[in-house]
Amino acid sequence: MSLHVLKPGLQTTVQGEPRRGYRHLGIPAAGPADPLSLALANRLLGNPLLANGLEVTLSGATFGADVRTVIAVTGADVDVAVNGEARGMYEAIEVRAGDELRIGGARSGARTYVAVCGGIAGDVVLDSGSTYMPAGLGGHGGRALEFGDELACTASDRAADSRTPEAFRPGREIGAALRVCLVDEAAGGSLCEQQWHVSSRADRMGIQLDGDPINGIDTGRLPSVPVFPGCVQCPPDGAPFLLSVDAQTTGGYARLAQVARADRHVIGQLRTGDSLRFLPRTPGEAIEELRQKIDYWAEWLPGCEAIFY
Amino acid sequence: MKAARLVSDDLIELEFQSQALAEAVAARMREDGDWLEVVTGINTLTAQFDCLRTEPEEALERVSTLGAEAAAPRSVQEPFELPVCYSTDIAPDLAAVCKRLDIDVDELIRLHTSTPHEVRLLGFAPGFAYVDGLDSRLDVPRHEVPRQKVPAGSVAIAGSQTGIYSLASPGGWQIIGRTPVVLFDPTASPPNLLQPGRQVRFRPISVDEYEASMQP
Repeated sequence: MSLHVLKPGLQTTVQGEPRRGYRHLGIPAAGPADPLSLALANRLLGNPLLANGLEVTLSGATFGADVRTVIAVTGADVDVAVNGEARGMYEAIEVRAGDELRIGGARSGARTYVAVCGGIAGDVVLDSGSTYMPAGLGGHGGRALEFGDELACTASDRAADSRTPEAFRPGREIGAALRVCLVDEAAGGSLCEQQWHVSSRADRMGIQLDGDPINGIDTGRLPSVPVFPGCVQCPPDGAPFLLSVDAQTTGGYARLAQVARADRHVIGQLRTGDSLRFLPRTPGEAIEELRQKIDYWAEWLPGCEAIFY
Repeated sequence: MKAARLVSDDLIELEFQSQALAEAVAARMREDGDWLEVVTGINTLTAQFDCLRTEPEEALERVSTLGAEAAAPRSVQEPFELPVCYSTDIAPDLAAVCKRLDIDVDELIRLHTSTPHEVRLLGFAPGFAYVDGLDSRLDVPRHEVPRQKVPAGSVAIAGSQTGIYSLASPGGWQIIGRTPVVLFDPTASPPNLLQPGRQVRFRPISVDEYEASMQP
């Protein structure tokens, strides 16, 4: 019993629990670029918050169902249709064997999540079913989905009657603001002084930022240090880039700032042309704001501390 | 331990006098089990902690205790011999590096292969090996703008190190050669062929030998 891929779109991957604890072997965590949206989809179906779902990038995708189940669509703003009939995001949707589920192109945001009741099977590699494409790990053969792929899932007679309350549907502001701790006071300070734009080089590894070059960046001879998703690095040319969920595990370019844990999920929705600001915070302030965010979301997503990572 | 500092709300960075000590403390912290990730850099270590459960000050205290407990181990193994094809046909930066250093390719090969090197750490991408022991006459900076795609098996240099790309990835090091050896296999345990601390000797091979080794 499965969903099968009719149109894979630009890049659709299976993503769920991240592959934690392997960065020292050079293996990034992978998992959803926007774990909050995946959790919201899973919540509507009674799944664990980070059960495997589908991450659909920008262009949309189309799937066929061979089974009666319930699905939910969240994240980047898209049209959803079952057999050509419009359906809503942020609500449980019944699909039956023979139905066609179409996810349209994203009007804003970069990644849409499709959760299926009971989750989607993925190859478990190093404790996780999430896809890490550069090394071909996890998910569906370690790669983006292609036409004809069969995604195993179980039948469910669950009622399709849940909806995400309005207060818990993330807005997609045109300009994002990310709270950061400064790693380099001077250059990190410069980073926070201007508005940046997401360039056309944006993927699950990282996002190149367009803006006025930052002056006084160290040369290309720094020893490599461990880096994590949310790190803003800058080569000597002064053009910074923001590491995302599949970020490499070490880097040798100067580190300017680190996006605070509370806001890392926002990175996964940034798309080319979006504007972006960085707001400086001390570690103490950042932790306090993380607690506030968790207090808010916990009302609808119990256990949500596990999705802000 | 030389220094410990908080990098962000959930990351601590430690500096050590030696890599052996950094690796020993890292191993001790992984046993401790209270850390989400423990990753070593060059004489450094970065640890991620759950800042909802552990206050940063508490985490800093804890690492100094663990740091004091760890002792630097030593193990000796035969050097791993890694075949490398140094040819301008497959190494896009070889000609420019030689020109910059004002040496010919044979001299570069001699400087890169005459002494053993040592894997310092794995990182950047699965199986990417940072290797110490580069002759100081081969010191070149990284590219100002990284390449979007460096082929798997590329052997590159930057600063005082050699880097080996086990998988195709973006990267900014100067590529001087390529190895046909598979360095990362996710089904193997451990998935990385080269482990930190392992000595490596680079053995020059011809383009023909390289291509013959790449046959399935």
